[in-house]
Amino acid sequence: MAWLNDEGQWIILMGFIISVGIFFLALLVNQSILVGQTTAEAVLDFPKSDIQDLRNEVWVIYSRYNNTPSEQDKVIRDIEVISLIKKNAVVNITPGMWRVHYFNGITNYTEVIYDANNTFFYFYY
Amino acid sequence: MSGDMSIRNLKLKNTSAVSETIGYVIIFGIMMSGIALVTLFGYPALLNQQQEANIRNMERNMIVLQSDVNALVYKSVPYKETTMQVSGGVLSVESPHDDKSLSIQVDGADVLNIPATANRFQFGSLSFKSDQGLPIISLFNGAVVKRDIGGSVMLSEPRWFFDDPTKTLVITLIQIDSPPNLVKSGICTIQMEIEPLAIDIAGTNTIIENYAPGVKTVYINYRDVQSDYFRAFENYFESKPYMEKEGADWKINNVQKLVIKAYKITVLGL
Repeated sequence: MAWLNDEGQWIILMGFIISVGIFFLALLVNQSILVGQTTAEAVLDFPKSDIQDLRNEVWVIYSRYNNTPSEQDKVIRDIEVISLIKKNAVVNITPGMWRVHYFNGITNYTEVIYDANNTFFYFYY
Repeated sequence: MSGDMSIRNLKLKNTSAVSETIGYVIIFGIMMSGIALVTLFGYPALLNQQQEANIRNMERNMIVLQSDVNALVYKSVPYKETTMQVSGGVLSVESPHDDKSLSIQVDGADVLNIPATANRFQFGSLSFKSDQGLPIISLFNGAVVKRDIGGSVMLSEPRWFFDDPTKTLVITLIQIDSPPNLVKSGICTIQMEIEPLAIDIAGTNTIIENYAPGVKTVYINYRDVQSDYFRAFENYFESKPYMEKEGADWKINNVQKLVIKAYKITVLGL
């Protein structure tokens, strides 16, 4: 104890600071895995293209089978059954009013695409 | 610090009662009691913490597996594989059994047609059992459930739903099975394969019953003999506004269209 040399104290101090820093970085890395995964899953789970395809298909039905209601009903029924079996989603298309309803247990979407009885014109396409 | 003010230049006035031995004994005593405290209380607490971290980790892993199962069932993916670290317990596949089964009835008649099991759908599960026996975390019918002392809780719900505007009830039944009985700990690669499970007379996996323009009441009977996940499912059914309890059954009123789909997920390896 004859000689107290305090020249090297900063080395120990730096050691402390760096270790605390690494500890917090490790916490962040640990969290980021979970956050990244849940976000990616939420994005993947959202049936964006399913709904877009459905809206597009409704326009096709409207323009192609507007004069043959029986054909129209058959196509609509096919779409409803296929989406139920393939995508596990309840789809309901109401002709005339052209209301589209989509529900897969998580995402619930309802829209009046083109109301033939309403004079207001819809500029969707 | 240098020069006249440094410690080595300070003169102590009286040092006659200062003993190096006593100082050493005091410092040594403090050190030893510190070590003893850490060994007695710190180490068990650390182990406990580690076990809890293992279980939390496994809860997360099971939710990852659930999204794998969702991809298989709802996105027409034929095969999925996930690697994960299982510690603090074992991962195993429980074969489908009548103890945990479900029946669906309309007008007093079974909707499901599975002659081998008396028209009851048997679930089977992928379970993580902790080293202490409990808790058990399971992937069960597309839900993640946790069994602990005194009851069970649902960590993530299955994707059953009722669509109000069209009065459509959609039920997905997911069975988990494996060819040999699989048990593993450590690094596991869970390989899962999907195939449709026949539930109607025609041998297909989809039942679509259309009662339009009328409506019917659907009765669901969930049996769990060991009461492992009973509370979790009771709470899940209870939380749904369209479900109502009647005796041992849960009933859903005003169903115009009933859709039931069944899949079998085979765990090929762990």
